[in-house]
Amino acid sequence: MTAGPFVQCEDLVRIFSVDGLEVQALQGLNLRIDEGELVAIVGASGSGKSTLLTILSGLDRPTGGSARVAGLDLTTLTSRQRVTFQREIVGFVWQQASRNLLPYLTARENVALPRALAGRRGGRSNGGDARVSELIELLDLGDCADRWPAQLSGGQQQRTAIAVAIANAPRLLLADEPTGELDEAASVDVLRAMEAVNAELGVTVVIVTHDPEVSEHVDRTIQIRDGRTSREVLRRTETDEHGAQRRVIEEFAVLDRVGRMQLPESYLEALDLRDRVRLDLETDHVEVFRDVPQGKQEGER
Amino acid sequence: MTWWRLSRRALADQRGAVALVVLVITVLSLAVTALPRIEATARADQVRHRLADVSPQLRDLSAVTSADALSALDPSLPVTPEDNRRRWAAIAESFEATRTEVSPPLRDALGAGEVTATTDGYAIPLGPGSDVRLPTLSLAADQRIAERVEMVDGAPPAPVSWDPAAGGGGGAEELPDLEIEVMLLDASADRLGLATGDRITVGNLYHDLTLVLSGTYRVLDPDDGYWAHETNGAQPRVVEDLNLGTAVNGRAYVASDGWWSTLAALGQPAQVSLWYPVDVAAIRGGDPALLAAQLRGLTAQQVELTASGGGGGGGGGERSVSIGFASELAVRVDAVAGENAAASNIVALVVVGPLGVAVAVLALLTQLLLERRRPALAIVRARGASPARLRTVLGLEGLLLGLPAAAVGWGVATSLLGTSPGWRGWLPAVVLGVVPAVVLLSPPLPTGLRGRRRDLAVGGLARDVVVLAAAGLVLSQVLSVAPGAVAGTGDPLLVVAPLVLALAVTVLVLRLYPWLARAAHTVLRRGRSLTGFLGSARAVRDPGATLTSVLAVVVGVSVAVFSVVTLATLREGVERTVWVTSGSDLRISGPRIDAAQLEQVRSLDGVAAAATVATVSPAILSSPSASVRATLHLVDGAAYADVLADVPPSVGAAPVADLLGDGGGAGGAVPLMVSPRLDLAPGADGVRLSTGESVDVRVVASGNVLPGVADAGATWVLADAAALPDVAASTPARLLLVRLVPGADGDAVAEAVVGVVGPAGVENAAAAREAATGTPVLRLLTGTLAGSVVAAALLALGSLVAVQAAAAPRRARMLATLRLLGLRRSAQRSLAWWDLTPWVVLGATAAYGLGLVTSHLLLRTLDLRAFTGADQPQPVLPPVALAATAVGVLLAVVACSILPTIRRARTPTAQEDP
Repeated sequence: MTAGPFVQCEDLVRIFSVDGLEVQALQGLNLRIDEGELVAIVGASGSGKSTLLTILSGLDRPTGGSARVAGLDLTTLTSRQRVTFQREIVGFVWQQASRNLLPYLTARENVALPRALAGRRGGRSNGGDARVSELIELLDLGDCADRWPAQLSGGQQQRTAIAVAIANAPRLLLADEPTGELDEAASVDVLRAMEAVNAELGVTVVIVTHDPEVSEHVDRTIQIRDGRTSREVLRRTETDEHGAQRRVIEEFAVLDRVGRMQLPESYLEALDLRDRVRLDLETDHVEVFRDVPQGKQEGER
Repeated sequence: MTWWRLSRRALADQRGAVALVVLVITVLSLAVTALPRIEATARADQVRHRLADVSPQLRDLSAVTSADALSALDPSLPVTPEDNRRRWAAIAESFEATRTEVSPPLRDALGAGEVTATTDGYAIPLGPGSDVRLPTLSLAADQRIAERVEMVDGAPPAPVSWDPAAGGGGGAEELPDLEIEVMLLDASADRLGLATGDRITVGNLYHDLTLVLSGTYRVLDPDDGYWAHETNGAQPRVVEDLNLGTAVNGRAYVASDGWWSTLAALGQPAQVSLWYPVDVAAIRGGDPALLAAQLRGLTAQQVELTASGGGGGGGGGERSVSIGFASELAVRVDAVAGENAAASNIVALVVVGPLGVAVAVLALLTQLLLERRRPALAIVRARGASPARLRTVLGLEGLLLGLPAAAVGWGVATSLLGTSPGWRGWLPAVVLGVVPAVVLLSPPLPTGLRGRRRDLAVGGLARDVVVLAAAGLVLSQVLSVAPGAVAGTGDPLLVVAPLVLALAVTVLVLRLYPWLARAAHTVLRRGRSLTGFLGSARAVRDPGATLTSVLAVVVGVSVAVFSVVTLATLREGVERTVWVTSGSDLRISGPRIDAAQLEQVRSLDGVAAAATVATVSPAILSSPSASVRATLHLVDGAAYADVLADVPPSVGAAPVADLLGDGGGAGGAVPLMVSPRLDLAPGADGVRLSTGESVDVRVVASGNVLPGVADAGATWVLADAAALPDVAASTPARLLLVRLVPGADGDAVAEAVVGVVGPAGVENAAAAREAATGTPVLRLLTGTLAGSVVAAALLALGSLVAVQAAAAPRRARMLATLRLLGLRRSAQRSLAWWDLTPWVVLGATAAYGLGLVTSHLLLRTLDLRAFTGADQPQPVLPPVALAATAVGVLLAVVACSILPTIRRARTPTAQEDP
């Protein structure tokens, strides 16, 4: 395993061909996530965030660029490596229960399934799988472990899905809109469960969402626009000399290897930035100016 | 959580679809196991049916050779009874060895060989007061005669005790007079005026021969086929000769243990008959062509009888004699082979289509199973199941679904039919059992967890080109076959023709449908109807028609039409043959029938009409260009027309009534009706008919058939007896046709008629019809055709249900959304109607046409004369049955369209996963 970021995407491109039309879902996306982080990826519908997650989970291959998780190059995985990757390194939770849970297995059986697939079976004979019980405990599913998915509430379904996702102790947990179909209370439960998984088991967690609420629960929020990462928001809690705690929020634009970056839309609108801008390099920062005709320039300043 | 539990849960979750797949496999396996065997049984039955009334003499495989020739098998001179038995044994063993060398199916039918020997007749002295002018006795021997007769009087003959060495070895002329005990049939003894104990001296070559009648016998079973060969042994042969007087020949059996010694002493030639009795009931395998080939193989060349050395005298080495077998059986078997081949062709034609669709429907159902399973498979795969493992599990599940079900179907068929098949009997069931596994394994495993996006294009251009090219090939092949040319099952192109043509029509329907749907949508989107707009939009963008489902509909409908037409054609062909040969309900031939008898017959109970026919042959019909020999039939035109009142028009009976309408005619010419073979146009000039005297005639019309009198192949001429009074007066009528009152008992009337006209040949049309339709192969054919209509209907219906089931989730989501928007229930029904009806109606209409076309094309090529007599029948379109088929199709479409709205209560609402 090579040193470097735990998740690293460089110039990731994914083009779908649908009915003869090409749709470019990812247009050279760059992303770095360190091990142990709890990250949210946000973006408007169609911005490519779910595509990114599908690639990171090994279910899809990028058209171009590179994607590495835990040192493994996802673009060149063999079929066997992919199976190992899905068994041991990555776990995922999708928005809909029907994509997470088999309808004809109970919650407990669903949690045991990935263990069985990976050959870590704790059958009935040896009193059940301790890991499964542990996860059910951790995710507070004790009351409903023997119910069918259809008998669980949305929040319970998603918490079961989290248990399923981390059943094989993966190092990365990917979640695609895990709170998309939940009410506020259930959403908070699920997000707390994710935080717990991150904090207690040390699993790196990536949540894709357009739910602004989620940002409150993560350290870093990465925004995707038009198939590229555009900006990041870091949140941390600082304690001042008086012992009072406060949330510090810092916003960054993402710069790729060749120096491209996206300006937030609100900036473009506020200053009516269009077509091209003028840049000035100062000693410790770069200035961006609206492109105005020569004569007017002085006056504008 | 083991794989086994996972599979079990998954299958239990889809138990409806699983049960359907299992059921279809079971039924199909039963059908594919049973059908070949039912067919084979019917073919074998047909062989037995047809051969049962051939006399044993014609049927059995028999040979005649000289006793001298046969003695080569055991050349030492037989002296003691032991020596005689040894020679019989040498002959019997070599004959039996020949039988065992024959391979089945002929060997199964050949009984143990019979060997009898007989000399020419010895003239015996005339009995006092006997009317027999030429009494003769033939000496005969059969080792096993004692098993077939019982003594009436006296004792069986003792073997002759004669030692050639005692005669000084100087040759036959130095022998003393011989005395031989014989036994005679009691009836023969009576006819010849002989009694037990009589001594009859007859002249032989060099010395006198005294026959001592030791006893008389009676035949135990006169119906035994043996006596058909040995007729003189079961009854005296009596020949009445007006010049020479009565000649009677009796067969005098000597003891077989002394036969060869006797023969040597007599120095007379004798002939030996050898035959294998053919047991028609034992013919198995149902392949008459093979049987005929085997028979020809035995009869076309000399067969060597070979005796190994050993035994007495001759020392070692092989000795052989050639004999030539004869049997009429091959000719008869050929006729049955023709019938069977024609039947097999039709059965194959009819079965291949539904079978192909059955497999397609099975595939469709299994695909449905897989489609419903797809999300679960995707989850399992995404959670780390290896593809190889997943495929193994799917394959095992497929086998688990298929093989036991196939085995059950096979077992049920086997236990019902009670015969054990070879490995070939297993094969179709096993192939069926593997279908689910193949279908489950053939598509790529689901990968992503997101729903796949559908491509709107129909796709498969290459597939369509291949299908259309194959259809073109098949069509050109079918068109190039001469009418009625296909007798054997040889041509696979013809057998698959219905399926390939159905595939081609399916492809065309799939290509045409989007255009029609788009056109309909273009019109409907401008209209005010919401359902019309939504339904047609769905028909364009999310069509339910798949290759398999359209194929099922096309094959189902076209096979139903084909079967209906074929069935009607066969029925009418058989019916027509009966009408052509019988002409009426009763056809009585033989004795002279005069006018008074005819009147008497007409007055009998149950007789509606009767007419006599007098025949003059030859009659010369001369026209200016040629003169031809013809057969003149004289009838009372009005009476004959009355008799023919019930004859259906399809028989093509000559318009007999026209003879009368033109009675006076121009210039006193006699109106005639002629066979098409005579090639005389109505109204032709200068035609004369001579039957002793020559008269001017005028051809009124030509018609195909004179029912009961002559068919289209004969050169017949019909005239009204009143128009040729002189000819009629000198020609007695020997044929009587009787039409019965509806409901009259044909047999009783026939008996009464025979009472009037004297002993006569009686043909009862009802019995003839029953005999013609009651043959095993025709029953098989009608059964298969009727069954195929049902099977095709069920399959088409099944595929429609499967299509509806496959479309159910998507439709349910759409309806749920539309209901939320306030769609009325009636509108929901209309939308469901749009799912199925347009393409099914299009496919069914095309298939209906295809069925009509294929039935015309294929019936033309098949040789149906085996069932319908001389003429190849023209395809018949039965209007009622065809209309019923169309209505059935419509009802099925309506039923399937309504189906989803009935099940609406169970469909899920909006939350379902896309």
